[in-house]
Amino acid sequence: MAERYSGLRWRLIDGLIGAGRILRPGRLGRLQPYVLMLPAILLVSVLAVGLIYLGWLSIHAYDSFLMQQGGISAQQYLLLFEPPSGPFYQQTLLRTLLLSLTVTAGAVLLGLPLAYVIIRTPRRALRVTLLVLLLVPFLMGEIVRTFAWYLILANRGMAGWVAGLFGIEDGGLLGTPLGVFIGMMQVSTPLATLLIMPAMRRIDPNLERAAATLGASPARIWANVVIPLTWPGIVAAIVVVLLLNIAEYDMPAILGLGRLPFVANVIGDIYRLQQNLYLGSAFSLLLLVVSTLVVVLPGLLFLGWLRLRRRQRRMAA
Amino acid sequence: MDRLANGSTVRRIGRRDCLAAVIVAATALGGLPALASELPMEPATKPERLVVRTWGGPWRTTYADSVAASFTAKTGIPVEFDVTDFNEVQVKIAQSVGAGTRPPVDVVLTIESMAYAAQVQGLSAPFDTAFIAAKDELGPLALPAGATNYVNVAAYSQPVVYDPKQVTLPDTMSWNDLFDPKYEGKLFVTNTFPSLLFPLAKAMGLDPAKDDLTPVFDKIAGLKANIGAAGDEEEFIAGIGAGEVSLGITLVGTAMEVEGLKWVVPTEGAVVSTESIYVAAGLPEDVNYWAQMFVAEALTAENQGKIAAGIAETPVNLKAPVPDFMKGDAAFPVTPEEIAKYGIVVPVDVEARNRDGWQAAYSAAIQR
Repeated sequence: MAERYSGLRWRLIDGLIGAGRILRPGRLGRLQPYVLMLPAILLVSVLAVGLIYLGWLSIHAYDSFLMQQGGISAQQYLLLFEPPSGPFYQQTLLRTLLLSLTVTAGAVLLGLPLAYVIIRTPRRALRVTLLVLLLVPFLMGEIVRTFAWYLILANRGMAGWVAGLFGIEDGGLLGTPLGVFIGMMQVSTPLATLLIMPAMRRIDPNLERAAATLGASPARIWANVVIPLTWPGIVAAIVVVLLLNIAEYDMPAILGLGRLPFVANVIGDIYRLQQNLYLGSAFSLLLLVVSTLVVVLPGLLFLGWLRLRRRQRRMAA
Repeated sequence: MDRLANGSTVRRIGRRDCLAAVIVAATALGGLPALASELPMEPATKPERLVVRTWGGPWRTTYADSVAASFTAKTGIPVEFDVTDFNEVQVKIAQSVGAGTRPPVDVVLTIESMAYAAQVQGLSAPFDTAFIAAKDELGPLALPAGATNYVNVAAYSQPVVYDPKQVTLPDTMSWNDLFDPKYEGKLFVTNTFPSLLFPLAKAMGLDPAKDDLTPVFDKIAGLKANIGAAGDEEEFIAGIGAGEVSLGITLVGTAMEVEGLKWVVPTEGAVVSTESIYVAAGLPEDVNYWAQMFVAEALTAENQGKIAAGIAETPVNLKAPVPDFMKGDAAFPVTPEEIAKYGIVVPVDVEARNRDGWQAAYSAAIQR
């Protein structure tokens, strides 16, 4: 009986190996890299088609009552920049960028020591426990997580209770930028930590020991050894966390009590309440352009500064 | 009159009798087409089911227990509900109409300004009022002037709702009283414009159909300090439960979900809006017939009473049993006299045509 099963198992393995020989990418020769890129190309194409469609809608006049598209026009962009509604859209964009940048900065600043502590913890069990605790926020849905913060930050929640201890009536944080900031930090900080960790793990602990032996203070070790070597992880954390925050919807909607909307909330309202997909498309593209500039421009400036610094060092040497 | 041999009599038919018979026959024959136009011919086939778009929660359950139950009992056609967002449904209906295919839903329940827009956009089918069994029972809101493709099934007003444990409102108040600094950060407003824009316009003596409402938006912007939260009905319930707001402008039906809340209709009145139901454009002929039958079924006195009790909205059929909690309450105007006294009714075409611009201006006015 055992031999029979053994024979069957070997035939199955032979079959799989044969199928693998037929299907394996190595047979594709020079086409192999292109074939492997195909899924990525398809994904980018789908996104590109969507963007082109948004762009096409945004440059047309539109009558939302008649649901009729007009000719090529700058109508939607003018609505975003001109009174009476223009200032509201600009203020929303500014709020989105400022809060997102603040949250990103806070998340990276907290994420750096968190990542360091987790990586440098010598006991494996404790390290794993810290890692699991870091992942806890991702184990629940965003709406559940947001409503948990709603209860904590409300006037009748923990924030209101603490404020009451200091004699502040109705001292909850809902509907305030600080409340939205706290809610967004809960997700952004673990994410930033996770993105920083791989770069930090690659740092040889002997480098820090060597710096300490040479008399460097802990702060100097961080500034001259840890941060520069973690830089790729920090950049990745800034880009990913910032872009996710700029697109945030639930936190500002729920913790902002509908009074501190982000661009995503306003785009949702434009579509849902104004039934104007064309204006929503224009605002989406504006956000895309602005957020790209916010991410790319400082990066380019920083790279330029690094090159300049290297050149100056070479000249000095 | 002639007497026969057996004693019985027989009446002789004269010229007058012939003339009368001809007139009766002609009247009867002439009346037949009229009768036929009143009640469309029942199609030979029935759809497997009817799909009705509605909101979730009490709307779905109430319509399932009332209109859908009686419709299925009468026709044998089961009814399914689709709670997809209205805008998505409209886009899908528009795509189906353009492609000449059957829309994903047969009947749509929405607010009247959206139903009016769907009528203008050609996304709803003309409704034949001959399907309505008792038109004379209907109040003025049911079949508004200009509505060719939809009927209104229920009305709701949005007064000022408050928590008496946190704030006290006088029985007689004006919308202008909401600007009192004592309500700083305590007021909830809806994220849609009619509930606040139209009452303030009335308080300022402006007519939305004729006047520029810029001064009203400026006035709403002056209310920012008092606005603590804005959103849908769910946000009001959450906000008042968490102590974030003490009073707000919302549906009474929403207020009734929270124990202990009270409401007051200001002296200028409260906006009375209506929910409408219509048949999607582009349906096969037989489906269209039964869908219209469903729409008419929503207006029977019995179903109107069930809808009123289920979603706390006033019936548009004046013979419908009005729930006890509505009787004598200014927030539930039913008769034409009550609507005129307590309600602010803005022509639907005015609201629908200006929705995009007014909503944008309102959103800008209420945000920080």
